[in-house]
Amino acid sequence: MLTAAATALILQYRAGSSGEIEITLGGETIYKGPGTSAETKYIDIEGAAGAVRVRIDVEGAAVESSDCPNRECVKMGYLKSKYLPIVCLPNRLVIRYTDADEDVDAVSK
Amino acid sequence: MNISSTAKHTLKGAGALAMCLALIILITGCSSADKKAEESLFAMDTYMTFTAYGKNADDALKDAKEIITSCENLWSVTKADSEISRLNAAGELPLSKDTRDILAAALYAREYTGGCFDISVYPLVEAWGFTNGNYRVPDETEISELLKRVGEGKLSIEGDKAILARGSRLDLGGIAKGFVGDMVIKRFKDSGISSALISLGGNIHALGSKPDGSKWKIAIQSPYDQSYLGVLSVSDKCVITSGIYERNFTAPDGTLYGHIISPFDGRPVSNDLCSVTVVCDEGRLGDALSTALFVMGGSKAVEFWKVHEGFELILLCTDGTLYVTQGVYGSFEPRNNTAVTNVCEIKR
Repeated sequence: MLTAAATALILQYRAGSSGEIEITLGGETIYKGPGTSAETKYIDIEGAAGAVRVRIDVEGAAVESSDCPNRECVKMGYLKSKYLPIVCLPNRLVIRYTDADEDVDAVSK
Repeated sequence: MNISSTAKHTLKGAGALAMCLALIILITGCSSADKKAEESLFAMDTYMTFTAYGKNADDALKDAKEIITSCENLWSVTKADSEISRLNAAGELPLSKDTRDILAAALYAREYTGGCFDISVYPLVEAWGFTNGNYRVPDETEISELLKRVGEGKLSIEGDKAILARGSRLDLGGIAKGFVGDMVIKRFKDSGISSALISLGGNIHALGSKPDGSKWKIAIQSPYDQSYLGVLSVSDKCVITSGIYERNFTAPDGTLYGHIISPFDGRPVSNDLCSVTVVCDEGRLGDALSTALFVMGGSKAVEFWKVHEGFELILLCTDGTLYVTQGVYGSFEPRNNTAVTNVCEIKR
């Protein structure tokens, strides 16, 4: 029985990505939860460089709008990979997957 | 030897418990040699992530953050009291060892690349708006004037002092991440860390191999979207990519201008390259080369590789050809990508 329980634990641990995302602002977690949503939901954040609106819908998570100067975070579109988090530098905002089901360890860009 | 049934049950229970504990260790990887530590940091105008394995991994990552923060305070042109800002303002300044070392590396890179990498190009980077996001197209007169402040002899180092030519100013953005990445890897090694992976805004430094002995798998991002051109398997290497896709602007006439400025004509580089990846042992070289080779263009970049040792290349051209040099061709796995029409191996 103990062996069966341990085996189940291994299988769960080795399972693929859960699709969970984490949003941090200045290193503090402000959201941790599903990276998709059947009903579109918005998370409004006030950062050091202004307001940021994050959208989570059936396709995933993306920055819908930002008051930051370059809006590089908006241009990134939907979050696609654990190794390509959406980052808003002026706001110190990061949107990332918490785990990965990919066969890579990092992305050179 | 007679063993009572109670003792047999006890032994069986102990054996099962031992097996489960072994399985738990397998699952969690609790050996100190594989202890994993992770950190992230905003610094040098980018987002950085660190992963290290080993019993000293936590302390090593704390040291890494301190090194990077300290170097940023010395080198950032956006900090008025950094050594580089004060040098730019005063024209000459005694410098700390770390700053003298990176300036020496930058001077070497300039000579090594025939001037294609040049930290004195800063006044032009500023004029085009890449320092503050106020993008503009300078006219030819302004570009010509600013070009007089760029190039050979604009920076010299005498003893502990750096001296700039009149009107010249420096920006270490093209080499700082590579240089500081080398410093971090050295600190890891000194701490007994033999397996680590750091990403400094997409500049990858891989120390050793993964704890299971397999190579690190580093994807190369497409310049057009978040897909991958391919995946490289490496150990003890830096993988550094330059492209114009991340920092660029579109002028009113529709022209797209990238952030890599040619030290020769003062204009954003526009040639047959859209992505340059350098694979090498040291980040300082890879960082400088990834910019310099972009300035050179595709055919000159290949010629340069053929006559220099110590690095390998993956070049994506605007016609969709992906060139991979022979030293990494066997460890590069291309991915189906609309940006790539064919993959060619380049041999010496």
